[in-house]
Amino acid sequence: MSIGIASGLLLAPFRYFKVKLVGSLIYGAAEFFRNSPVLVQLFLVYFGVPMFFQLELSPFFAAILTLSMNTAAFSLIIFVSAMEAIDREQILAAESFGLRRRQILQKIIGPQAMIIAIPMLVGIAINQLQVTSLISVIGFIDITKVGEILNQRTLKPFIVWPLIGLTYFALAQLISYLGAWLGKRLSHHLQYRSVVETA
Amino acid sequence: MIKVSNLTKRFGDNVILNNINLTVEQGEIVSILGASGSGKSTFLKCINGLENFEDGKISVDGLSVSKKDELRQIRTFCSTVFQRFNLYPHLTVLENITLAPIEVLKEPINSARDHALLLLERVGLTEFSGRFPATLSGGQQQRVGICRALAMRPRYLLLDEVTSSLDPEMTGEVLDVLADLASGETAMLLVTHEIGFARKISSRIAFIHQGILVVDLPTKQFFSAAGGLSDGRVAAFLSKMELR
Repeated sequence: MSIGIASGLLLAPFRYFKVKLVGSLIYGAAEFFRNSPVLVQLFLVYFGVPMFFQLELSPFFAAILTLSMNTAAFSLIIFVSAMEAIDREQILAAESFGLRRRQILQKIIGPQAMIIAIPMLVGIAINQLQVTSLISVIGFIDITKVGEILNQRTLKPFIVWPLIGLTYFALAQLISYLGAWLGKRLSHHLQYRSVVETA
Repeated sequence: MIKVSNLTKRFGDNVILNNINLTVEQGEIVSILGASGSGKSTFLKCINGLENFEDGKISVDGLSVSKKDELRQIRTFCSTVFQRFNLYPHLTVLENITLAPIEVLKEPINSARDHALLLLERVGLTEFSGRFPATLSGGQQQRVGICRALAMRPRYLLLDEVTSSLDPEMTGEVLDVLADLASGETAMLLVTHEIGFARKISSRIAFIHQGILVVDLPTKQFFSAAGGLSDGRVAAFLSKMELR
């Protein structure tokens, strides 16, 4: 489950950030995914894609597809706003030395925007983790579904549900931890300490 | 040679630069003086395409600033030092200096690094090569800014009020570095408020008043009663600056 989210998250910057530069078509799609309920999107993908494209979709694939696109839409907005937060003047400087747009994105904007984006991305990732509980409605077995099954078999809700809750909690903590670790790694220059000489 | 002919720049109905003509020969040092808001910084930005302009032509060594491919070429040998340094905060001093040579000039990493260290030594910052810009003083940052511009081995150096965001005590260290450079091959076009400094290092001084280039004279003549000072606007500006 979290693999699905992670891959959506990972794909989003690369794919969306480029498409954004080419046109605003993707922006429209992103608006759709941001402004409608995930459950509706899930139904649209799971029942709609087979109807219009004559394709068999497994619940797993439908869930991955929907959540990835949904996550991508949200992270697109995050990345764009993070990039806009970078001081224009250093970009001007980079331009004045003849760096191409791609190089500026890669060397100047990217690394700094990432630091701004990470806390917001962690927020989205944790939110999407909770949203995965919705996909049991199309028959895919997620953590919540597992809880339901265990509950029916054992008839011990006060043991099962706290455990399920704890599982979500642990996964969310893991995401936060990873985010914090990554953020720290990327923001060396924000920690005011003398750095070992590179020379 | 930097050749500016009939340059006009507007923001809406506001005329920022009005029909400016100026040439800077290889190796020459030209200062541009003028009150704040007279358009001198904008003028400098036009020369390497950081600002668009409506009318006129700018060419550097025969290449036109208005053509995208030629502008890219111009930028490889015409570097800018900025008023507010504009260093890349997430990169070390050494990385700030070597970025453009490696990415744009495709200089091998080792040679770019050696050159950067040489430049840092020249401005007295060797031991700061691994530091991030935020840990340096303004004067030190601006010296790094100068090294970053010089790392491109430019034929032309554009200096945009490089000391105006510095404390007086740090101004000196930056000006010393520039005076040291002035003896070299690189042509410099500087926009400045440091009249004494401009007088000391420039071969020519141009004065811009409300977007119009009023006076363009060799330094000595600019400061003579019969030359630049005979223009009321220049005289008024200079006496105002001296009062400060």
